Amino acid sequence: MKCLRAGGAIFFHDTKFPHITELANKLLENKWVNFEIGAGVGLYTRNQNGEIRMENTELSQDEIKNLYETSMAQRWDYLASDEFRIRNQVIKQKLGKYLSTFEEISALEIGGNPAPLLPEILSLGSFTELTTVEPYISPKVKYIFEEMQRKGINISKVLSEVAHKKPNLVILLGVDLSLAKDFSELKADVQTIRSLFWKAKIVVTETPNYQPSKWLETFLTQGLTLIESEKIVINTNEKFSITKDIQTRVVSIWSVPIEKSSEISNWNLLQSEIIKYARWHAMDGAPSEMLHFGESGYEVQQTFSAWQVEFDPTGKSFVWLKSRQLLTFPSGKRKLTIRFCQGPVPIIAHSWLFKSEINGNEILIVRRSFFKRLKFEIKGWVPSAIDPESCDHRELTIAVNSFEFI
Amino acid sequence: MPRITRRLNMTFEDAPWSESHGFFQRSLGAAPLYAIVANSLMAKDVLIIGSGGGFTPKVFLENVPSIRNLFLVDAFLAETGNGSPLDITKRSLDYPNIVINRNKLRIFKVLSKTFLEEAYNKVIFMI
Repeated sequence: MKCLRAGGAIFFHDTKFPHITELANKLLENKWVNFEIGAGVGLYTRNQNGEIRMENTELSQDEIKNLYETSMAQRWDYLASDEFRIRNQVIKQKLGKYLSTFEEISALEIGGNPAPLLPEILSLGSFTELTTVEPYISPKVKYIFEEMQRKGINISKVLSEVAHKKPNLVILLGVDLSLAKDFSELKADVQTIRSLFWKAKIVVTETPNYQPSKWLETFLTQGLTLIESEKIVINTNEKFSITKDIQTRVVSIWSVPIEKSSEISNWNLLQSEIIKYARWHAMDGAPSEMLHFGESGYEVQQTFSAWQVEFDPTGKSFVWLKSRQLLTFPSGKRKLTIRFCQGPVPIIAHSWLFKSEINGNEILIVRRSFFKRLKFEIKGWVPSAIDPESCDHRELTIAVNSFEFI
Repeated sequence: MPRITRRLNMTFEDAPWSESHGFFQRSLGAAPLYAIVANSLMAKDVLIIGSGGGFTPKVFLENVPSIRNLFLVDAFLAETGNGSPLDITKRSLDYPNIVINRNKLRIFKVLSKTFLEEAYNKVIFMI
């Protein structure tokens, strides 16, 4: 800010987040304008002849840390809404019959912010020890965690503090470890969670229809027996600007086999999934040798500027392409076949850079020139084969079953 | 005057995170605001911190003729699908509506001392 000239202006982004507004108010002494556009736009202008007002704008380390933690904690505030609380209700309903068979229950919940499950299931059995691991707590739900503490629930900030525990119920809702600061921390967290899972009797997981979370869940639950699963579709299109895949949630209850000899038996194979996960989240130190293998979301994003990869119930993947695609042909390849999901046949505008042919639901693109990078536009939205009603909130995406370079 | 029209939708909408600036469906979002303020200041040096997929750089390059230097700072995580400032330099083929004067672009990977030294006393406009 100190380098802003007199007569200059600053725009701020993301001012819809309360902590950003609060910080801007503090730094700019409330002398800025906030516009309700997109994620919020703030504008500050410095007077031509005004004095340099911002002498004490340096944030202390504590203030920076606090700001970061608040912003992290608020990222998932929508999960505390009435619409999303249905997740907890469904799980509570399902868990009742399993927990009634336990004489004593020691439970551990990992990352419950902002809608922890533990306080809602206390009536389901006789709990002896209750712990929750929560690095960030949103200011909106701070009272819930304070109440939990009053009820005797221990709150830990880091996973390593609870690694030695042997809970017989482990809960991990909204499977995600994207906050790990680097690959080695991610690996350590994953190993801790896996070992906690294996020490438990019942494990509860919940994931959005978001590929990185699904990879992670697959990895963490390897060897466990799925005893119950339910897909929940939450309709919050008008309330939150979040995508369909985030609104589609799968709740799963797993039992842990008594015979535990196979634990972490195929570590190398499983590790490749964590690498994909780390690369997706661009974590420092993630190995890159896996990038060229497997049909990962990362690979698809490299090829197309696609923004989502999903898997249908049979495990077959499909890709949500943008209607306007930027494409890079690999060396030596001149043709690309794209097979779309059912629906109206899309149209691709011709260009002097390429020609296109349409055969049923297939489109063949042949590049004409030496340009490897080209752009094509697909007109007409094609609904997903799985969910014909499915549509991205920006109406930009098109479902593709597969693609192949020739 | 800003030259932003719906005709340019294809150009801008494709930039990741354009919708977070309110640019989607039938809305131009904050793009006219950015352009009007920059034009009224006759901004010569613009600094964009977190230029990501390139929405705001495109708005400035296309609509603010007075710009001499456009400073872009980003973490360069194109592989995550967020785009990166480097993409902008490669996109003249893909965005025929925009003629990018590469001489105007000054790209930095992270906020560094060198960057601050260079930008200090020059920048009058940040986003």
